[in-house]
Amino acid sequence: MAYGQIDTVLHIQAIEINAAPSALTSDKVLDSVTYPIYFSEQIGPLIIENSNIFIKSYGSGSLATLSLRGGNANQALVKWNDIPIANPMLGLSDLSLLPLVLFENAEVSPGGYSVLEGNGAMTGLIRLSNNISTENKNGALNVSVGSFGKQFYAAQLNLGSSKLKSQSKIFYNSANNDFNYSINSTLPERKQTNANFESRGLMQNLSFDISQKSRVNLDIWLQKTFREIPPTTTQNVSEAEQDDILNRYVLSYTYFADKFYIKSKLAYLDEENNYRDAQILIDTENQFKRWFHQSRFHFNTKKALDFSLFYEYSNTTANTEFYADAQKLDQIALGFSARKEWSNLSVLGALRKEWNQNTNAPLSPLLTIHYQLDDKSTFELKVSKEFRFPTLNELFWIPGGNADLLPEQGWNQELTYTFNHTFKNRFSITLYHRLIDDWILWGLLEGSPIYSVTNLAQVRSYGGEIKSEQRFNLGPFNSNLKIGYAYTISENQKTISNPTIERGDQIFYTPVHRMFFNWNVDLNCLNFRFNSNYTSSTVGINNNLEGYLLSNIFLSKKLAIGKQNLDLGLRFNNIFNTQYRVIERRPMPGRNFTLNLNFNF
Amino acid sequence: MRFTILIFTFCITAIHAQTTSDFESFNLEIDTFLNGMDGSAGFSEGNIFLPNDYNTNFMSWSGWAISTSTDVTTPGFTNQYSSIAGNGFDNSQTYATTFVLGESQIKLTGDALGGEVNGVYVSNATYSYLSIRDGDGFAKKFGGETGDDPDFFLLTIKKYLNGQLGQDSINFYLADYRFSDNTQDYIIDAWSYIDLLPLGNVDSLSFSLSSTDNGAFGMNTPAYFCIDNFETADAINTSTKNTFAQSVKIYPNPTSDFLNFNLDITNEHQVRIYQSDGQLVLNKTLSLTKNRLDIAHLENARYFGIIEYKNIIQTFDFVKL
Repeated sequence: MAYGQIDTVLHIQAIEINAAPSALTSDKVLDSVTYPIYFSEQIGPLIIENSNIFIKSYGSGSLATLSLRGGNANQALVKWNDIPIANPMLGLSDLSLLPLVLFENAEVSPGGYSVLEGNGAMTGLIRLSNNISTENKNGALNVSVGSFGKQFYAAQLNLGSSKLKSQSKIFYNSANNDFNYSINSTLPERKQTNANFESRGLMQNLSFDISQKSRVNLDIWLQKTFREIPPTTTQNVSEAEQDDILNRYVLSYTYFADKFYIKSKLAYLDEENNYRDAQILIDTENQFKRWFHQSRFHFNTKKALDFSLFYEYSNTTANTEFYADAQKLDQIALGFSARKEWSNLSVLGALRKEWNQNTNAPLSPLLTIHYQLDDKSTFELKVSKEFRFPTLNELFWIPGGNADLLPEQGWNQELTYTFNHTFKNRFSITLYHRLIDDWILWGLLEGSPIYSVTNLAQVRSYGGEIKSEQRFNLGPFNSNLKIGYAYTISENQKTISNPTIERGDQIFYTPVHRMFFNWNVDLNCLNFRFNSNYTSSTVGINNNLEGYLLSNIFLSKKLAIGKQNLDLGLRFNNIFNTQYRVIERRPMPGRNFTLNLNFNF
Repeated sequence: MRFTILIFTFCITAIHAQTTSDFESFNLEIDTFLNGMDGSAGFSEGNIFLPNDYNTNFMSWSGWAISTSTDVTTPGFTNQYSSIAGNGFDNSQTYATTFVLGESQIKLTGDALGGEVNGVYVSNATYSYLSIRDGDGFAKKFGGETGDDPDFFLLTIKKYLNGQLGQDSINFYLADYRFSDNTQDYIIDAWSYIDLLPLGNVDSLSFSLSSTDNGAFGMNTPAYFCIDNFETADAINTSTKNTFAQSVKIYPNPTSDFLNFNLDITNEHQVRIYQSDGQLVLNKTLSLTKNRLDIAHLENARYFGIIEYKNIIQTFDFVKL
């Protein structure tokens, strides 16, 4: 059974080489079932409603960041076609800038992935990727309209020959986000203001088969997003707004032979994040340019033994008025992995070392033991060293940046049991533990007049995750029930005066309990889906936040029009009109709907 | 402009000087400021020193700055030097602004060292005032989401004497939203006088701020306020200090209807009563037989006053309940 980063699915003709993480703990959240429901959304709602993962959202259209297994947003990695796309200044990816219509695959993998995936994957990763259609000519039109002025239009065209294939996508997405929200039952409802969102972009994927053994890919992702930053519930007016401009290019080369393959990628990212607030006279431009090169040599033997050598190099130049000068950071990583398989046992070992000119991460090992108890039950044990380098802002921000910061580092242990019965009934349980030292934290040090960043904290995280999937088929009736639950403890191990943290405190915005429930029913051309997800109370920086239960319904009908087909879908979000907050003082929308139209030709 | 007035006690036996630090001697252009970036580590004016801590690496400051900023409309930290009054006390140009990190101190120097401080005018900084009134991305508008939160922004003044921090304090609400009737909620938007005589003799004063809007990173309300016309009661001849016991006794205090003055000479005395913002509210003539002042019509508040006989004056304060 395939597992681990160096698992590969190899087809000589198609040269498909997918470096997928562990199948046991990964959730493929974007598929043919979820795409018609979420194509007009960013990735956030898809993850919230289809996994145990918590997303820290500042509101509709606003910043949304990952919280995986009690970690911070910059401790989780987001990759697009194997290229890390986190903003190196902030160290995180804003999930509200990841429109699902651009991708064919989205996979969420909680757990320690620093050794295999690199800097920042301490708590897991999201893998986004494109697969160019194997058909020579097809396309799709997507339209979605909904509450709060939502408008979404997208088009896709796939063209190609046996050697050259092209996949083009464009989209436009806007919303007023002027929803009403309630403070309490005695006060009149209020309307969200200064919350416009407008995003447009394109994705171009080209694939050229040089020979039956080698292929070149070019992926281009251009996107511009404008959004207003709404006021908090304790703020009269906001005039803040932000532009996010992304220009991403990836050139890939793959060579496949009988016993080995070589894969090399060169990426260039040119991005801006510009923030303005006319009220407080702020107009800042934050820019970075990044070259990223990655090569992997993978060798298979006939004795169920394979090796992989990998290397990564990045050169980042970033500038903002809050740096003394434009800052440059070169980072290099070398790694090795080996996997040996026996009849019911597989062992994967890996090592990684990563440096930049400021500091270096510890030599980081990984050991994964996969044991197949019988044809239904498997165990996987994973032990790994995890690390995260300081971000550019943490190093160079004025005031408060600290060029002497050390990488965060610590050990991660995971044990997963999976029961899989003829792919109809599936159950898994994962237990994990992670202890991170040199946890980087902004705070006010004794005697210092300014907030600064230091390796101040130590955080222990542990918990369990349960997932279950039950499928039932009876003639044209298909039922799929997915349930998941996560228990997350992430405790500070040191008492800190500023921010005020006691030893044993749960870290901010980390729910102890997360749960989701998805019931999907297909009957002929009709589809019904009910989702419910629960997030328990969290500790906020200013106040504690109450837990909340959200429920959504999706109805769709598939229509055939000649050789083409049309999906009509209606999605009702937050059907019980729950008034809730993910971040204190940031209201969230109540009941709303979206009408989806997906035409494939 | 720095000016010094000689104040004689009622019995003439003690001679004291009064120095008012109004920061005009810095001769700043309008809408400018001094924030210590020249490495001065503070500002001397009259008989006081205002410490400043400027971090050259981070280009940040705390402690005191000298300002002539007139901006009363721009919210946020880009307008951190302004007073919401729009100028100094009594329409003067220059005043001092502090960013309070724990505490901001004012150290007495020269003849003022170890003596009393008469008082000081204070105002909200524009940054704090607008944040309290309107909220911002970090701090709440006072009253909160419902308007009913009992919020306050409090200035607490204590003294240091001989290196010891005194336990007595003077509290002044820069904003107070604790009233059950929300229409009474207020934010100080003009210069207000604080009588510091109750603190007695001091070497330096400690100013600290507290708020009901706090998070894990401390107080969310911007920790700024402004001062002007800081007045020290300088001792020119310390041997005369004991004669203060012979001053006019004024009672009861607090009071609701009358103030009594135990005058011991028959001549007429002029009494003037001022609000905390310096506005004159009462001006009467008293004598040995007519020594009661009707203050029942005044609003409940703290007042200060001056009793004058020829060229001899004495200051006092009282609370009207």
